[in-house]
Amino acid sequence: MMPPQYVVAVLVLIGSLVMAYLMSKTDPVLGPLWILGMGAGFTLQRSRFCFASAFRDLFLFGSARTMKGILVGLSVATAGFTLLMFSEIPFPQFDATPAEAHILPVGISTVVGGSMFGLGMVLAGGCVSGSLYRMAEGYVASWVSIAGVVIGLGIMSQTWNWWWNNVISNEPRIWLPGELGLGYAGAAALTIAGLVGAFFLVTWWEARSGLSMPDLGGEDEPNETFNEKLSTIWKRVFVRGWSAPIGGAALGGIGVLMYMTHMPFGVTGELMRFSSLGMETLNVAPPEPLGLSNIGGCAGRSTESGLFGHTFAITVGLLPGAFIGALFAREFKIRIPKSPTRYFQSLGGGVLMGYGSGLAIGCTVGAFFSSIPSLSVSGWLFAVAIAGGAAVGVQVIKRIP
Amino acid sequence: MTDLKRLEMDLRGEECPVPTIKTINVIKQSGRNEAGETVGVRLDDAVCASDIPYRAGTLGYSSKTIKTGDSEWEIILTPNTGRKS
Repeated sequence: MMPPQYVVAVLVLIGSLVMAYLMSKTDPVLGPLWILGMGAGFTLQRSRFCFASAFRDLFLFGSARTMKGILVGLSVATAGFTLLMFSEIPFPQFDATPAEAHILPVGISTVVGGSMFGLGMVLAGGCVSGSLYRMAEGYVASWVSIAGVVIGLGIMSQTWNWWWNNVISNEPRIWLPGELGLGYAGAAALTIAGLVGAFFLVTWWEARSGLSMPDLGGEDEPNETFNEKLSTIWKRVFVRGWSAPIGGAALGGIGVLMYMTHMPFGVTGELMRFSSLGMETLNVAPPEPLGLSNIGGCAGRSTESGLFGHTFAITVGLLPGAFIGALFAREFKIRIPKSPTRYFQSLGGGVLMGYGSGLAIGCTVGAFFSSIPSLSVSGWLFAVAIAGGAAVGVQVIKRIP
Repeated sequence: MTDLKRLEMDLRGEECPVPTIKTINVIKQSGRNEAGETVGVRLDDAVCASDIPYRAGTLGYSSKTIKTGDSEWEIILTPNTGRKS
């Protein structure tokens, strides 16, 4: 007899595929984007991939396990993005930049946005993509976080023009292939070198913290008959967690496929759209944002009308994908925080994340995981700022009961 | 053999990293008081459930994880004999 969780998972899967088909009737690209969004959600849930824990655990536990997975993913994505950008703009030295790549303004806005985001994500217990997949696992606190993010994005959009006029319009967008005659080869090589350097840095950091992974022994299972082998494969994919490098590589690959289909992976664009729709209904629509029409990333999508757009497919598709992953692994459970403190943490952290990602035109996905592979300098500065914010956040959560 | 007192913690409903932080704090404190007592932790967060054995391991505790339900675990942490205080 199939467990009820499996039945629900199969129903959700069928329903999602039907949705993909129906969405494709309006716009053929929506089907693949929706399915890729589901793939991203599934991957995030199976590998418990959270950018927040990657940064936070460096400072909280001296552990770089998830961060290394991110570095693997960034390397995969860098390779893929470079090829895609090359096919769009073969000659990078003439000031044109690929339209959809996440090449974002780099400067004070990056530092302030990143710091706020880093602090907020540690307080809330998860970044935006992490909170989205945990929503699908049944964590009520993550629903509160995402609500906070939407609120923070709304507040940001009311203040955006001030930031644009006084800060961001003066900030450059630095795309490595166009700089100093680097070209794609030089830019990609430099980026990969940076990622390898980061890998050594976090490994050294782990050693400095005295962290050693004691050998807990693997699980020994019968693996001889055909049925036993199938059962082991099922368990490895659907029941046991995926390792961080596998999750990172899969996510990097999915990001490349998304870019190939239309645009790199990003989630705050769609959440910004929700927040704008919400404010319009309340008659407090934000002013028309200046300067965003030329920037890729998670901006400017707010102008996409209609309920089902490309960012909808990518961001909302994440939820059924993660839900299915949780159900098959029997990891879905409605989890309600016991203490009211957690609700304030999640909400406050979410608002900080929303404001920060609105300012930086993307979160750990859009302004980091999709930006470094876009060979944009902004992704690096954003990462450093996030780390700083996360370090402060760790000091705060250690003191909260 | 004296009956080892066991410290029980119910951390269900808490999201990572709270279960790990609280467990580590309790372990570090108990190490200061006596030779270290056995700690039992109940939780429903999968990430922490796989993390806590590692963290406790670096502090000289061996662990045993029992699945008590869908997405619910009890982890029993026992101080290794002869560990330094």
